Parts: sequence; structure tokens; C-alpha cells
Amino acid sequence: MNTVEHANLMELASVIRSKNASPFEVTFDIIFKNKSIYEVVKKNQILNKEILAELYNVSPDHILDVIYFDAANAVKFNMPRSAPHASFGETDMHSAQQHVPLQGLVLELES
Amino acid sequence: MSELKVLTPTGMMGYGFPEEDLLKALDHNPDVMVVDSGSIDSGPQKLGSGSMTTPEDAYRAEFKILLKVVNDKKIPLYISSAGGAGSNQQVDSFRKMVEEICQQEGYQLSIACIYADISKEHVREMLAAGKVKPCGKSVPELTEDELDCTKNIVGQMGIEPFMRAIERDTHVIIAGRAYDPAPIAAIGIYKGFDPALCWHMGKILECGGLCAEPACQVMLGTLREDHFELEPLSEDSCCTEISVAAHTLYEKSHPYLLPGPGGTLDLSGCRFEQIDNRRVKVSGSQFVRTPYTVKLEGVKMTGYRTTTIAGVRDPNVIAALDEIETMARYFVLQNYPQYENRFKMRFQVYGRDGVLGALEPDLTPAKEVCVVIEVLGETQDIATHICAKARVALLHAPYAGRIATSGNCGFMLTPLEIPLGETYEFSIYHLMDVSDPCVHFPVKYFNVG
Repeated sequence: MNTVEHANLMELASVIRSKNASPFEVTFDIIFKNKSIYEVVKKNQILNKEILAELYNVSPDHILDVIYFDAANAVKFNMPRSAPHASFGETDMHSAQQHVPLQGLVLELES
Repeated sequence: MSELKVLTPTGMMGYGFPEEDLLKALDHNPDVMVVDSGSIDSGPQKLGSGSMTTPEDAYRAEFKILLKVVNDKKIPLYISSAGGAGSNQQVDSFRKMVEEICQQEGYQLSIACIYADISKEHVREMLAAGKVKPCGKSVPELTEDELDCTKNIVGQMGIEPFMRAIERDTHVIIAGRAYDPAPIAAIGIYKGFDPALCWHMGKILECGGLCAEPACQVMLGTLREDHFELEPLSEDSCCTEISVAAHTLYEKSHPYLLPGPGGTLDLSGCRFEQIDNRRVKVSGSQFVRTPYTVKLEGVKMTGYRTTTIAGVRDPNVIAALDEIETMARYFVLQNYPQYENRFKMRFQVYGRDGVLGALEPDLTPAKEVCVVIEVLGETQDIATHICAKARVALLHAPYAGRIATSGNCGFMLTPLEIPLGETYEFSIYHLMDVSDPCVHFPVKYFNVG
């Protein structure tokens, strides 16, 4: 029988960050601590549009891509910025603090 | 040529680098020094107003060190995206600094300037012909109106304009806006190395030692037939498989497909291998040719900004901030009905949702918060007048249940309003089809000394 464990993303990843990618998008990187954790997350597509949309309280089509990158044990996803880079209403020019909600994300790992 | 050694003194010209690390790198006999000077990360104003990323003296100090190496060791220096935006004006500012230093020091050097401004008329013709497309899913289609409002446009050059200057054995290349990896890719491909490895090494090294752990400035990259090697020059930093792989994902929207002028770099099959505790070997990168496009960056002026900064400690005020903002808006328009629709005003509340904005999941405020009033007006005067009235409202608005009647916030600075000058916004971030990769990027040659 499969067992389900709950794990905080902070404990599974060595990098959780966000950054502006073009003046119109913010990109998020999660790099897992090792291949085996990454493979479990990838196999079950644990990080997906729905879970990320719920975390950020946006609709799933606001999460543009969720891409797994084996060579770096990494997952990347993107969101459009609420307004173009540095325009009226800017809150984070380099989008370097938008990752913070991910720090509280709890994943269900099936093994 | 069996190997090509590229030295990058820093990931951003003007940010500084340890001179001893640069001198240490010279012991490795590098073939060329390459420095990126551009970035749109800190906003559109560099292309809008012509301001540069760092003060001129910071550039001058680095040029003095680098030009001495060019002169004494005969190692060429390639600079891309001069000044931050890489506009023609910024290329010429860099050229003047280089000429002054050469004259002072008695260096005899050849300089190539490559310009990257793109005329609005040309973009208009290409737009009408359907040859200008948004760069990325989040970028709106370009319209005639938006193009009309645009003040300045640059294009990101690829390797071809650099190769023209490299062919002439130029000592110093000062290029305008360029795709960041282009100068390193250009020299590598010119010398006959695998284009995929050249582009990939360029992509990593344009950020200097950001791929090292901890990040440093001076980096050495060595291109060989079937791989390249990365080594940080700071003794405290190491390149690791993880630090280099992590950097591969940095600040772009796809982790392993990197579209650029003339082709896409595909890193899905690439390998990062530790050589020793400080060096990493990279192989397996692929390059797929695509129809040639040039990325355009354009900015429009949106008005003038004025701001004021206030601190709030009283929990009753903190709870009433949205109500106070509404009262401020009413008060401002009551005083300046003639400015209706000629400004935008908002409160940004640090300590509540100041950084994440609409994405903030936890709206519980801190025990004290900072309120920044941002006003964007048609003129500086309008912005400052509106900001001043909004500040009065923030300070004195009689929100429901108020018992502290002296003032709603504490200020740290006088004058209370801070005029911030012209503001810009990106209006163009689009790909334009081109038939000749060099036609928009003229090269001019100069000899100094």
C-alpha cells in the first residue's frame, strides 16, 4: 500500500526564488536538494498549475507554464506581472520577493 | 585553435571587481575580455532619459584598469549594451571615456562602435507588414498608438555585427544593445568553436561570477572542441554542478530553451560535471537555427512622479488605512477638480501587502507600517500638488473611531514631498523579422592616440 507523507517545500528544495523575466513576466525557480526528491515530484506532477494557482489565489490560466528540467532537478513556472515592470503601482521591480508564498507550501509525497 | 579563454571581469560594468582577481586571471593568458554593461532589470528610465546604470566615474575607474590590460597585454576588450540601455548616446558616452583615458595614458588603440537605435519609421513599416510580434505570452500586440507614444527604441544585436568588428582585429568594441551572450558567442563562433557551446558559455558568463557559490565577479571560461570549463577567480568562490545548473535557469521564462537572434539554444541534454572543487565542465548543449528576429525594446514617457513616505504605529490608523485612502482621494479632487483624470494616486502599505501586492496571501498587518503615497501626474507640478494634498489627508483624516487627534502618521523627511522626475514604461518588447542581421547595427571605427 502507498503511504502519503507531508513535506514542507522548504525542506525539499535548495533554491526557491522569483525573478523578473522580461518586463511583463515573473519567473519562479524551485531546485530540489537531490534527484530522488525531484523524481518523486516530477513523476506525480505534484507541482502543477492548480496547486500553484491556489497558493497565489489566481486562476490556473494565470500560471503560464510549469516546466520540469532534469539536468538541474528543477521546476520553473511563470506568471504575467500585474503591470509592466517599473510602471505605476510597481511593488517589486526585480520580482525578487514574489517567491515567499512557496515557502509555506506543503506537498503530499506518495511513496 | 584548440582552446579559447574568455575573461569576464564582472557581470555588470560599473559594479566594480577586485583588481587582484583580474590580475590573477591574466596568468591564465586569456584571449579576450568581455563585459556586459546592460540590463533592463532596474527599469525603463535608462532608455527613456538616457541616464546610465552607474555614475560615470565608476565606469571610468574600470576602464582605466581594463584599457591598461588591453594596451600592455594586447588582449582585446568587448563591451556590450553600453551604459545600461545600449542607446547610441550611451555608446558615444563610453567611446568618449575610452578616448580620454587613451589620450591621458598615451595608448594607441583601435575602437569599433556598434550602434543599436532603431528608427520608429522602420518599426512602423514592419508592423504594417505583420513582421513585429510580441515577445512572450504576456506581452500585448503592438499598436500604432503605442508606437506613436514611444520615445526611444533599441534592438538586441546578435553575433554578426560583432564579427564584423572582430574581423578587423579591433582592440576595443563598444556595442550598443546586444543579446547578452552575443559578444562571447561571436568570438567563439568566429574562432570555429561549436555554436551551441559558444552561446551557452556566453549565457553563463555574461553575468560574471553569478554562477559561482558564493557569487563573485571575475570569471574565466575556456572553450574547447566538445565542452567548456568555468572557473571563478575569487579564492572564496567555487563553481559547482548545482550552482552552474541553477544559473542556467536564472531570469528567463524557460529553463532549457533559450531563443535568441538566429536560433534557439536547447539545454535539455546538457551535462554539468565537477572537475575539481572549483571548476565545472559543461557539454551537450544544442543549437537549433530559427528564422532571424531581433528583439526590440522601446519605452514611452508616462508622466512625472512624486512620492511621500510616512510611518504609522497606531493600530487604529493601520486598520483604517483603506478608509483613509478613500478620504484622501475625495479630498484631493475637492481641492483640485481641474486635475481630475490627469493623475493617478495610490497608497502602498509596507508591513501589510507592500511587496506582494495582489499576490499577498496574508493581510495581517505588522505592528507598524510604512505608507508610501505614489502619485503619477501629467506634469511634475500636478504630481506634487496632488501628493501634498493626499499627505495632508493621510495625516489628518478623521477616520471612524479616531481618538488620537494630533496626526495619523509620523514623517522622517522634509521636505515631505519628493519629486522624482520623468517616469517611463516599456511600450515595446517585441520580435521583428530581419533579412540581414547587420543592417540595423552600423559599425564605426575610430583610432585613438
